[in-house]
Amino acid sequence: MTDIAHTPRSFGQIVDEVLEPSPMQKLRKRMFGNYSFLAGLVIILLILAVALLAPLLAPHDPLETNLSNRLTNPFWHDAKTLEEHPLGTDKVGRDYLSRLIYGAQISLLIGVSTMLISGTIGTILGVTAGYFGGRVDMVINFIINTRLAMPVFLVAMAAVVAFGASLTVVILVLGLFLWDRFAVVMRSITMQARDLDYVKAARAMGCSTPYIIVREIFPNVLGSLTVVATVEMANAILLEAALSFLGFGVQAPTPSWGLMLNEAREYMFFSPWLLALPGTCLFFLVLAINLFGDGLRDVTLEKGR
Amino acid sequence: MSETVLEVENLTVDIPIASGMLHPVRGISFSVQKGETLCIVGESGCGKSLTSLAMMGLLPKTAQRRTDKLLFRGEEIGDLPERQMSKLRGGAMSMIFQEPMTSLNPAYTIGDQLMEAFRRHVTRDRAVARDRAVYLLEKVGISSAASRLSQYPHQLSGGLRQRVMIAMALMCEPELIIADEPTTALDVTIQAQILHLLAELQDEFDMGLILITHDLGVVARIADKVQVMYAGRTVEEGPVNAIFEEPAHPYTQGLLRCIPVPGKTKRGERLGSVPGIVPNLVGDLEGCMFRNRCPHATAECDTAGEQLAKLSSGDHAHACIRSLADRAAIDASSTKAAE
Amino acid sequence: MLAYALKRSFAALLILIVVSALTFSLSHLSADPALTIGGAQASDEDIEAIRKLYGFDRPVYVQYFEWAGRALAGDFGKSYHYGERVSFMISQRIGTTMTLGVLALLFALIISIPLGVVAAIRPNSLVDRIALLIAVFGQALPTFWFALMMIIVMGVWWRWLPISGNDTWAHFVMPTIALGYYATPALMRLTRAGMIEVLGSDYIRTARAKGLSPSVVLFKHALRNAIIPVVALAAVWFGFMLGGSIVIETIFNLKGIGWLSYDALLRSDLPVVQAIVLIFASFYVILTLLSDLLNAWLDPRISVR
Repeated sequence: MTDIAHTPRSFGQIVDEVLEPSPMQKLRKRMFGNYSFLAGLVIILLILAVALLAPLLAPHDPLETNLSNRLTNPFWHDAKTLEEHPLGTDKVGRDYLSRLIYGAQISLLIGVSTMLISGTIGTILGVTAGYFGGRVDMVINFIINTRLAMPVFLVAMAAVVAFGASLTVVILVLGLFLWDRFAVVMRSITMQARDLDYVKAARAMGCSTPYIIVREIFPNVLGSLTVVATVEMANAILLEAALSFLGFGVQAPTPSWGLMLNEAREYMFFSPWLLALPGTCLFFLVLAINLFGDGLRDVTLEKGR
Repeated sequence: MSETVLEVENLTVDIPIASGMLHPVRGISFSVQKGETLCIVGESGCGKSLTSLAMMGLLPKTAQRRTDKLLFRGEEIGDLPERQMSKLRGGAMSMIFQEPMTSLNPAYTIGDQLMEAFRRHVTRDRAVARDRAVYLLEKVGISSAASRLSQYPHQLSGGLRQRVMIAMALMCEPELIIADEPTTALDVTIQAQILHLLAELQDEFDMGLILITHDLGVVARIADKVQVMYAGRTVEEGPVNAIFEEPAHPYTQGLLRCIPVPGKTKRGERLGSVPGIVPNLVGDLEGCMFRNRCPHATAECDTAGEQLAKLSSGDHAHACIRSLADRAAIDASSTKAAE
Repeated sequence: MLAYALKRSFAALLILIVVSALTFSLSHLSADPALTIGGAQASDEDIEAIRKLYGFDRPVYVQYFEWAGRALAGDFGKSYHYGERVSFMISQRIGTTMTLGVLALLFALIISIPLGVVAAIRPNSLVDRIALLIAVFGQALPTFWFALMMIIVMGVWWRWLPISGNDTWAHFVMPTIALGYYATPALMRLTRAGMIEVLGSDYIRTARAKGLSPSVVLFKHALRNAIIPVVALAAVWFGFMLGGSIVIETIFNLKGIGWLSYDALLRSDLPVVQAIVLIFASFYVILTLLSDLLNAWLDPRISVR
């Protein structure tokens, strides 16, 4: 007897395939996803390279002031400046390009370290709640809700006032506040993973709880963890910029993009580029991280199917 | 001679999917008269639901429908633009779906949803629509009909919701009702009530009824004509008695062996089954689609056509290249060869 | 349903108690309010006298209970700096913030719902792409920087709108856009996802089978159901927007409670800060509670759990 079926596939699967977007749509979506993923990755790597190579790339010391050469125009207003200060100088004569380059270091440092702290707290809370459920879950859920009820920005400002403004304080404060999304997502994914058959089997075989969490649960949550990490990293960078902009973050003369915006504010009418440039840098960094995260989600989802 | 409500000739549905072109419905033809019940039978995935959606013009956007003829009341509706088609839908032809639990909009009252189509197709007059709704709710056996109008779907049981769905389908006095597995999601006792109700109403309003089902018990109770579908084709069609008494196609025979018959089936005896799975319908297809599950298949079946061939008794036809007698002879010789 | 409502209300109350206790102890443990009140010239004896007068020499938890007891009656004490009653200062300014919040939310909904609906009807169409683009860019745009750029372009170059103060409706236009656009991506994505899900549901098929016109199917049957989670999310976003109002009100010199909290933090005016944290937290908790109850009422299955 010859077999008609090229591949023995139940009709249900075919129907699923029909109800999904058409092949063209799917393909386009995946390509778009991958494009955004690639674009994000390229911009992030670029900014990372700039941050790491700052001492080589920056034409001047970002902290070196020169009061006789204040607020010079960028090259598109004044071609003469192209060699010495291509993007002009700020209100105390510091080279703007160098400050922008070093600013990448600050933003990335804040983004990564905040994300590491909040990611650790949130993952521990979320996985614990999701795995053990019951009372443990109730308590952790309450902690999460309490955290969500606190107006982050206001409390972060208050904390900076209380402990003194510095880079370390900003990182610690944001790290201790931005774990909510990690906890919420990890909790629900762990709950799903806990009910997977092989996890149940591992439990039935008498594997220890830490073993199950590390070996069986953790690989399942890793994809979502990375996606949340990108979201929170972008969030941290934006919050630091806003805090520094209001004067409740990194202190002068550190070249933070948010702080540069704060300093540029009084000159916004006559030298708008002082505002436009650091903001554009911020925008592209955050955009790149978001694109990367979105792309990552598409890729991991595709793999999950 | 009674009047033909719907006549379909050579209906195909094609759907492009990632791995090629899927052919879930591959050229089926049938017709329904006023007051007649046609049952389309087959296991899940044989294309019967898509056939019903295709007749209503409700296929998913990606699906492509082709027909040689799609006559409703003698008029071709296959090429009607959506605007005119939507005037027929819910008016002269209406549909009852499988899932009463999810087929009603949770945000609106029963009354609103009942009167909606009537007010679009028949008259804007709210009072007339309301009277009609109450009349039909009583007709489908719902008590205190007037007060039900202000209830929401989640306040009703599954059986009641399906009665509401039936009343809704009847609102504009349709000439054809297509019911896609209307009782599958219901309890067995409710199933019987709903079927009885459908048959009764069909009789009373002299409508054509197309009932899509996989349940041969339902077919035996309600059908005038039967169409057995397999892998997007009709494999056997005929009057209900002929199908049940002299099933001709090996697939129909297999299906009928699955039903226990009191008195005939011996206690402890194994019920029949049709082993194997439905073939993949993607790409170019050749030969009899049933051959990989057929106990009588030979090399000829790899290239055989699937045309319906008339049997001795009038309307009864099947799509196997061999007659009953042929198959018996082949089976006998192969058993001998094996010995 | 009643039991569920009571349970959720109790949890909400507990959250508010914890939030207020946390902010109270944070501010009291870190800085000495007596120094703030006394000012730079105060002698040690003066400071000691102030401590006694205000009761700062007592344990923190005693002070908290006293403060919380009075806060329940709407009395948040007196401002250290202005000497006015905090409740009075807030009541004078809260209207501005509420106006801004409501306008911003309306702005976000007016943009995001139509875009989300159109994107859902034609996935991967041009409109869908544009909507996605707006979402991706919108999420990466730092709110305060966007506000500053609007001031430069619309306020200074084009002279369309006033850039500072809260005297007329025109003063609210730019703050509304700046605060509202940030909520747009999330609301739009939810509208799109909800519409796509609803459009694939059985009751939409029923509606089409009844021969209803496409617009009736779309607006009457689909949108009504898809919009419920959006409204719930919008309520939560309103809470977030109050937090965001700090930056926006500061930039536009819009004298609401966001501006007040910034001013109070600059002056370490603790009673004002504590009161505003509590108000923001209460808003978030109450709005979340209401949206949960609304969902439970619309879907009876939720409250059974």
